[in-house]
Amino acid sequence: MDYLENSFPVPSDYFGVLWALAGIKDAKVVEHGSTGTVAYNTVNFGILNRLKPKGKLFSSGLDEDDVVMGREEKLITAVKEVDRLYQPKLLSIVATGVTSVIGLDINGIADELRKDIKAKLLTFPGGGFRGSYRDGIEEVFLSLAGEVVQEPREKHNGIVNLLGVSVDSFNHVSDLQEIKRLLGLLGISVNTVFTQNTELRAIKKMSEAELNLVVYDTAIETARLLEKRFGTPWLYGMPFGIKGTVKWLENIAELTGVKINRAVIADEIKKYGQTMGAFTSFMKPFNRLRIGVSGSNEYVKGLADFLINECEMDVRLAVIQASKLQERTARELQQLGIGKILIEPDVNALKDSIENNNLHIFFGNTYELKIAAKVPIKIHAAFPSFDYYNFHDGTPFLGFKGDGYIIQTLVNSVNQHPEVWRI
Amino acid sequence: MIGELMKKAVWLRDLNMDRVFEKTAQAQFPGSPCAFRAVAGTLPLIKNSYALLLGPEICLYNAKLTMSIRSLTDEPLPNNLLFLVFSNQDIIFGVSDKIKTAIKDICTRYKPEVLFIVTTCLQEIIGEDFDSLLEETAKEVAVPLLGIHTENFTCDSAAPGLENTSLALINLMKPQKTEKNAINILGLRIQKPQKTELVKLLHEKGIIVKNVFPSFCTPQELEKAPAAELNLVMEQSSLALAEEMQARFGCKYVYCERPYTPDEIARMYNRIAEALKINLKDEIQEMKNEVQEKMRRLKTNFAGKSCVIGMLQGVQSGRYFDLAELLLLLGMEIKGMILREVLRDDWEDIKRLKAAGYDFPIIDAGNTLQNEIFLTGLQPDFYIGNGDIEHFAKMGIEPKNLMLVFRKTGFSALKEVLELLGKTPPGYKTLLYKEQIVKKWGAV
Repeated sequence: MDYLENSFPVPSDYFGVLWALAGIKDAKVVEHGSTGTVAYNTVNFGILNRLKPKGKLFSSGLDEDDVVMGREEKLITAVKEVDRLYQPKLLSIVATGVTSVIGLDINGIADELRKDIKAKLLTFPGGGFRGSYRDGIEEVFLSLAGEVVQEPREKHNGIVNLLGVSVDSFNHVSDLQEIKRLLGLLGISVNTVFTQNTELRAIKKMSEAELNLVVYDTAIETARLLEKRFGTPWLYGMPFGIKGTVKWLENIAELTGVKINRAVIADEIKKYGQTMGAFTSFMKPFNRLRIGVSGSNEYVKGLADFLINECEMDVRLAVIQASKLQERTARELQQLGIGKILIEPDVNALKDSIENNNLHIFFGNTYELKIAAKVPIKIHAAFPSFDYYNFHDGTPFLGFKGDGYIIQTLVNSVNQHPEVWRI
Repeated sequence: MIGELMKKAVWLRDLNMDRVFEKTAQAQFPGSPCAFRAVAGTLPLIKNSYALLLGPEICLYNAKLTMSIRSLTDEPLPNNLLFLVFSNQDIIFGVSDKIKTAIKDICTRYKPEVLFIVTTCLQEIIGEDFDSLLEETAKEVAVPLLGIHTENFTCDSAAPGLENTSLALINLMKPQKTEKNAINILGLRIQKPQKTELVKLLHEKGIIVKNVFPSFCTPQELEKAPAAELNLVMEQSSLALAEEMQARFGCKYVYCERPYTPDEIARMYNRIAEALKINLKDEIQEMKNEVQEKMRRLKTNFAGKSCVIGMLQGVQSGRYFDLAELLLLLGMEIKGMILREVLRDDWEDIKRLKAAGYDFPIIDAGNTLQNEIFLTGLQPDFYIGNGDIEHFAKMGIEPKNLMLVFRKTGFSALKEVLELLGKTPPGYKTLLYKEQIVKKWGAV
């Protein structure tokens, strides 16, 4: 049995729900549980670029009598109070493990409450037993897409939504900045990043966008739902590297009918595009460095593709998360020629694979980077990242600027660890 | 808004043991500290032990993260927390077998000198007989198993969890022959207790400090703890252990919750000296003179200044109302207090303040948003307590965070308090500048 001494419990749907809601500025959350659970959440919000749950997250203050009697009065009072005092546009009731187990009918309570409050009221009764945080994020996305997004008054060409980015998404500040900048090159603007730094008003109008760009797979079902409801086409993927970014832009242009100004793209590539070949010499054969990549499915796929096909480096190991797309992602990684692919491995399997592949460079989350203690170059590229902030907006992994940033990071890291040439 | 809040405040003049603090709001943030969190943060301090934390991933993920973040500080803790995550299936079909298997496995693999098994709210609700399970499993392993209950929904603070932790340790203790001049210190959370003023002073007088719980004592040392003549109890949550040790082993105790004023620190030392039959008069007088001189110098800085005291207990041990007296001695006006709980040792201080004619409003500490309304309404110059420096910069109230004091004792702790009070916290001026520009120039 793994007692997670050197790894961490995968956050549950409860966390996913909180994180997906945390990026909606005019939303509040009342969770029904003991106050300690809310108090403890300052810790996990804190590693998300020092995000603070204050003013966003509230506890109903459930106590022993409420548990024994299955009482709901405190929840009702708390929801009404938050609605009156802070006037949120969206209010969500979130169950904790305790309320989930005592079997309180949170949906029923919400049905009763709706007539008494002004905010749009949603419920998330999973309480941490419905799967991983990815399931919780998906639950929120689907709930918003199904219950909040309104019929379009009109469709707007040149406007898209970015789907799947929540506060826990690795490096989202820089990556979103770059994605928006790239879309600007096509004359396209973003209605909302669903759900990061957004508002209910923008979510309601998601139906008016011409295209949904799905950045993380947690939003694929949502994109399907929006397609079903409003006929909005969608595109899934992240733009990594020069080739990957050009391809991504071409796909968007095709779906939106926008004509790409090739001179602008050429200018971009000239300005930001770096290639590993320029840094490779007979004394610094970058192509020989053995690399492992772990993270979200999109990051792993994009990074691996970039490192193999553009940097011509040797990616030996890929670690992806358990998800609905895991088989497909694993197949795609195999097609790239990666020898070892692991899906959410336990700590021992990961440790063995890192050691067996004698890696020079490992991209991963903080816990994995600690497991990879003997690997000379360790690069943060995944959540959770409790010892590494990403609040600066100039460190993208995506797009043309991301191409330059990753190559700069790799070259500088190798220069700090010249022993890699001798291992 | 402050008007509404003031209706829920209790004025010092009305504060008595029957007075209940009304919650400032039903929807709370952050609410009371979590007992499980406090226990998970305390058990790594017991050397050669492991702790198996049982519960849903909600609690365990946060526990792991807290310890991981702590590893980045100047006081990292041993990585002795092990996790057993309950799934939906476990809740439906029961967790007893899973726990039993894990305990046996851990005892074989990790060979701890003691294994703590810690529950969360959930374990208490699903109704399995946790204590019987441990009793039964204990027969099959050679490692002492100590169960700690931490159901947070039954309490309004983290204190019961800490109390349960200290009480659990009694099971490691065995009757001993009393050693003259030997003591234990209970409830001192310091990485290097031997370097504290209290321990050094006692050592100079020939007193042997056998254990400082929970500061890195071993199970073997705890076994011999009843040999002490006296237990010094430094925080309320260790009182239950002291009382139990007195009942079972005849160990007397002296309870001295952290004082802040020179007179009360001197009184604490005098009580200890009396109980141990040692003479500390000269040392006390010398140290007292030194801090009083510092206070005289500092007083000029605080003339005409005001403060609100808040959010110490649950985060940092100490007597709130004696701290209030210290601040009054320094010439500050106390505009209000944000309080989590009144400690047993607070009542004498309260009586003294009332008798001296002081009065100020006190509100329950459970809700930060309401606390901010209280603070902006009262507009003190300083906030004395632990909190988010960025929020204080936004409010234009200088925070004086006394957290560092918990590493010290006696007059050296008071010196640290004076040091912290005398300085603007690092980074505050720039934060204030930033916030003022943002407000004045109107950030979009």
